[in-house]
Amino acid sequence: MANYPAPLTRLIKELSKLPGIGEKTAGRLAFHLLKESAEEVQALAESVARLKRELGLCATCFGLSEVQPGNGDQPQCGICGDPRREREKICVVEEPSDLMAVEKSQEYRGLYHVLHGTISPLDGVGPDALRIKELLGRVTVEGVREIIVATNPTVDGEATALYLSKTLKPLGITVTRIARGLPMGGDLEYTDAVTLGKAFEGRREI
Amino acid sequence: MPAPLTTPAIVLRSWSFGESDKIVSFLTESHGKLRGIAKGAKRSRKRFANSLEPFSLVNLRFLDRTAGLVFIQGCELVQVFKRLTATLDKIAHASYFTELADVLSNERDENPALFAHVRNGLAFLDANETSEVAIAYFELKLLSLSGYQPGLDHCRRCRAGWRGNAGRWNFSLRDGGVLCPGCSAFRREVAPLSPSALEFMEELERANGEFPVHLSSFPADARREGHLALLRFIQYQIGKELKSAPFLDAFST
Repeated sequence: MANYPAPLTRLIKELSKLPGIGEKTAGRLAFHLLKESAEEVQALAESVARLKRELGLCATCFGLSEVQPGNGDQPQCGICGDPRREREKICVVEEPSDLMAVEKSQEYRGLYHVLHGTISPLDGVGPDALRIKELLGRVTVEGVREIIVATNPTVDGEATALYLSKTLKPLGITVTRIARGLPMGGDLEYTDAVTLGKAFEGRREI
Repeated sequence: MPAPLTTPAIVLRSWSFGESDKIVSFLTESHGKLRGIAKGAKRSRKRFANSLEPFSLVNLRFLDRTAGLVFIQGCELVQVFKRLTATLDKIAHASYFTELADVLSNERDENPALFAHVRNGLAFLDANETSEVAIAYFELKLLSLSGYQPGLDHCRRCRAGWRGNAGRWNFSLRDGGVLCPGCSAFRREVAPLSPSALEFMEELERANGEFPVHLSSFPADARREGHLALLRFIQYQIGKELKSAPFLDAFST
């Protein structure tokens, strides 16, 4: 990379900061962009710049939201602003990408709350570092009846779920945890003991 | 190409690395603490399914190619301590035990006794109620197995015994043991110990092999003093605060 012109070197350096992109791949991408038309490259640069300019966090659920002109620093996402959503249910997720995953299922029609992390004793992340205070605020003013905890089935995800349950149940809210078990198309023979155990624990009458 | 090695191991921590890999820290029976890369761990359902979560006892298969990270070929779950994630209290305790094992063990330094103590500690937490006796016993024995055995039977400076010796004794972080009232006067980094706490710690030291649940008859203040003195000593030795200690304090029931 030492002999490349400075603008190319700069682009390769920036691209290689992206997840999953090493210097070699960054070089290939940079040379690809070099071959593209000026309009194509400009469109890509503009999209990247607009991403930070026009995307913010929803002031209610902290999921991703477009910043609309006129609503200042209080953007509201499409889900929170949709009157057809079931407003007495909130699904709590770790990250905005988890919200997208649940939405893709098309099984859930309630609202969301994104914590932006999990409680992690081993990393020293406590409840105050997450958007839990804001969730408690929503629960008390929005007439929520059920909180569905959809954090990942990890130690940190469990710690977060247990903390939410401990904090919310005294407020008279039903706190549920999403089920764990066998994936569709899975094979019992190749399923690990923990997943199989959870699948039996969560069995239901048919 | 070197042949793969296999050893029983406890997962201490894991971090996401890139899009689909994980870096995992293990306490192993035959190779001390090891850090390794598990390629594709976030996507693989077969090679690493559920076996890279903290507190898991696994059979680790790895390639040791360099002095740095080992290459994790596979990880088979041997025992799941299921109840360790059933309550916040248990998660806080297990996290504390695991972090202690992490900070008090050395990379590639074989210590089967330390491995056995950590495994027994997690198994005890899984099967029993949590208590300050269990915490203090785990701390004290781990210190001993990692070469930091504190001196508890007599003053580290003047050699006076604490029995029948009235006054306020202290645990000196710098001296690595107890100091009599006279010798403590010149030390700043000390944790106070009542006679009851001194006796509690002496009993803890005598317990060998089994978690001494019978020591829960000691007053709560004595048990807490003992635990706090050992916690401060550990933090003094490693030169930093334990991240899981505030959780243990907040969520212990």
